[in-house]
Amino acid sequence: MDESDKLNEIVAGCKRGDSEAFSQLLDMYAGRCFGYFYRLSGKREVSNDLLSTLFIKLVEKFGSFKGGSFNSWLFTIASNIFYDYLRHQQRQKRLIDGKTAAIRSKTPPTRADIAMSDTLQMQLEKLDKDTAELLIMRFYGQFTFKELSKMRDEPIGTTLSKVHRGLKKLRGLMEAEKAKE
Amino acid sequence: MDKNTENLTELVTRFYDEPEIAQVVDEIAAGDELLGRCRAPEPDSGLIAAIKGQINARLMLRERRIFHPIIQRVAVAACLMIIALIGMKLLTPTQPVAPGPAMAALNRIWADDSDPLSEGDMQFALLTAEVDEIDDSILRIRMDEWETDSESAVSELEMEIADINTDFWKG
Repeated sequence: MDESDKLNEIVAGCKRGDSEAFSQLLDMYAGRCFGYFYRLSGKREVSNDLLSTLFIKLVEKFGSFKGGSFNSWLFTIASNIFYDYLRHQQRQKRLIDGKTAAIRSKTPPTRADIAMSDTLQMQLEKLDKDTAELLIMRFYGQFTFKELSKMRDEPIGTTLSKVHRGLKKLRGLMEAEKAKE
Repeated sequence: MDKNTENLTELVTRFYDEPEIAQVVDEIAAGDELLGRCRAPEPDSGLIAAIKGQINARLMLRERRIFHPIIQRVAVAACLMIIALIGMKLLTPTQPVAPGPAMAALNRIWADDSDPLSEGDMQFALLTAEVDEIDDSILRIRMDEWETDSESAVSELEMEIADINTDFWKG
């Protein structure tokens, strides 16, 4: 049985509400989804929460999966969950006193902050958000350019060009960081 | 098909000119290789176990949400059926068998021992039987079939009738 057949079987089990199928699905996708959230947020705790939220949401939403690419469906939900998290963060930020926020924004990252995040994480944050998410989505979701362009509702040439430029820039940033060390 | 199996060169050829194609393909491959080297950390096994526990709890809750209304509906339907059956049993008019006069009298007599009316009926029946017996005796005496002293027999019968009458009116 190849991976595609195995996934179809697991998906069918999840649709029936089989807990063993959900367990297998989690084993299959936990690493990739966690990586996706980690690379977007840069925080382990946040990634833990988002991964839990994603799979709990899947239990409720599985009935709405009407076939097609399960991968695309899963990462679209993951992406929505991440943007919900960002919106929530922004709401919280607005509630913080302006002065405190200003002081915090001027505070350089601590050693602990840096230790939490690796070099790649720091360089990804230097890219514009859309490009960073595109690269992370492609890598962790293992999407083809065709699938990515469909998900983003843009021409495949545009997606290809953005990924190419993003990867080239990221490599440049990483090499520059290495040269500093 | 995932990104590892798509034909990147073929795709790049559609959008880039000849001298750039190989370079673009190499740069994309190098970028992918870089991301592959710097893998994100893996989730803790404890976290995975906790999520599986949450999923199981959700599934059980969902099952209960699905089956609870069904059980409720079945219980309500069963109650309604029982009520309907009882109602049918009580409200369906039974065909009464019209008893004849003799049967009616007998029913009245034997229906209830504690009924004072039935008790009166019983006494009435006994009295009638005794009166009949006395009439029969008087008839036999008059026909000279009684083998005793006729004078005393008649007076004895009259006394007996007087006794019975007294007893009857005593109740």
